[in-house]
Amino acid sequence: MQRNEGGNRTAVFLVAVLFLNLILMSGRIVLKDDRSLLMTIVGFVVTPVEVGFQATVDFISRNLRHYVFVTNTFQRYRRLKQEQSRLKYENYRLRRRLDALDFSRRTQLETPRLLAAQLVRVDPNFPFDTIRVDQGSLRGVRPGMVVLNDAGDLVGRVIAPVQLFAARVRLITSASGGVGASIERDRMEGLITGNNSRFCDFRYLMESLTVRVGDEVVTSGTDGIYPPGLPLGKVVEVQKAQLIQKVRVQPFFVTRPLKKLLIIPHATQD
Amino acid sequence: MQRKIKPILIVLLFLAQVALDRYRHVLKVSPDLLYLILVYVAVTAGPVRTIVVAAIVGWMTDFFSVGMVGLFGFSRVLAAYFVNTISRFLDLNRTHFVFSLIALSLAFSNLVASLFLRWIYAFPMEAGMLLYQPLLTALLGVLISAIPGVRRELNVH
Repeated sequence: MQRNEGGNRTAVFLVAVLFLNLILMSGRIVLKDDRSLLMTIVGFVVTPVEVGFQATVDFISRNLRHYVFVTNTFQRYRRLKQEQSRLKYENYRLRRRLDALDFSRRTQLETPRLLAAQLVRVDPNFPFDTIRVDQGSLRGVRPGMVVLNDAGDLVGRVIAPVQLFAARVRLITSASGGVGASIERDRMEGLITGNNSRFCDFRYLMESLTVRVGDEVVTSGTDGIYPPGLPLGKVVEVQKAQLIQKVRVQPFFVTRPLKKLLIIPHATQD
Repeated sequence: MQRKIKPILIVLLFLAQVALDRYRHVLKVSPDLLYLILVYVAVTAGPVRTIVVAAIVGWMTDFFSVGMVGLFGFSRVLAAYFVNTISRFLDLNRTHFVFSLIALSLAFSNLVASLFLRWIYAFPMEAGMLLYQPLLTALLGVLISAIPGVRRELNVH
């Protein structure tokens, strides 16, 4: 009996050492789309737990609110909120269609079916860089898809690698990348870039152009990534400089809790 | 005497391996002297100690070879456990058993490592690694154990 236990312990130890070696090895293995095998395995194991935990917490809080506080009202509110988001998004697209027909001809005009997603995790060290959402390649999420919040404001876009049950979204406030944007009032175009803070910079606006605090900024579509007409933010600071002016924009999505998200499935692929 | 010869032999094998590895690109076939240390531990010690030593020897081999830590760590642990298990049923006084044990286990270990290398980096399977190195290492192992007094001092049995 003791001998058997000793044999079992040895077997467990052997498997543990072999597994440790596999983990060490997998750190050096890079898959086709630049994913580390180790990260893929860890993501595959951890993400369902993460998503499950988030779903459990949401389920409990939703039901508490549903039964204890406002029976049915909450459900109706959610439906209306979703409907409002959809209509708001559709409204922007239609307005864009009327205003700039030449742009609209080049883009898909039919309102796509939006994919609802929930925020799973925000990187505590870089909260304005990337976030993780609970929809992955299993539901058709692909890199490059555009992500909005529940009010239809632009949040960012999905970046590779997309896991089976989850995806990472690069926020527009991230220091990586940029968004082609324009001032909605008079269609002055430029580039919105983030710096991992609550604000973005609106670049390449000539000093002679008039930009006012409070002007709304929307996507211009010139970057070929984000569809035109998506609400992005509003101007909070304007500083005149030589040739160009420094314009600071506060994205709309940072002013409200980021929880429910909408993914536009047809957006440009990476 | 026995206490002295073991560490000296191990250090000598280790230094010889380091020296040989500097000429790895020149030599067509290079023996794995660290593996001889591992076989010695595997036939004299228990399974747990064998696994620990195998992992350390494997990581050292990784450090000396392609630098993919865990590759030989994995394959050497498997081979050493195999040696540790099978050596109980063999009469290691017979030279051909010692030769076969070293050659086959090292070939098996290198085969496992080669399969990983082929899968990850698309490395070709090399006869030098799968055939010549095991044979050369086994030959050296037999020669070392045949040095007068060494076999008795190593106290394999």
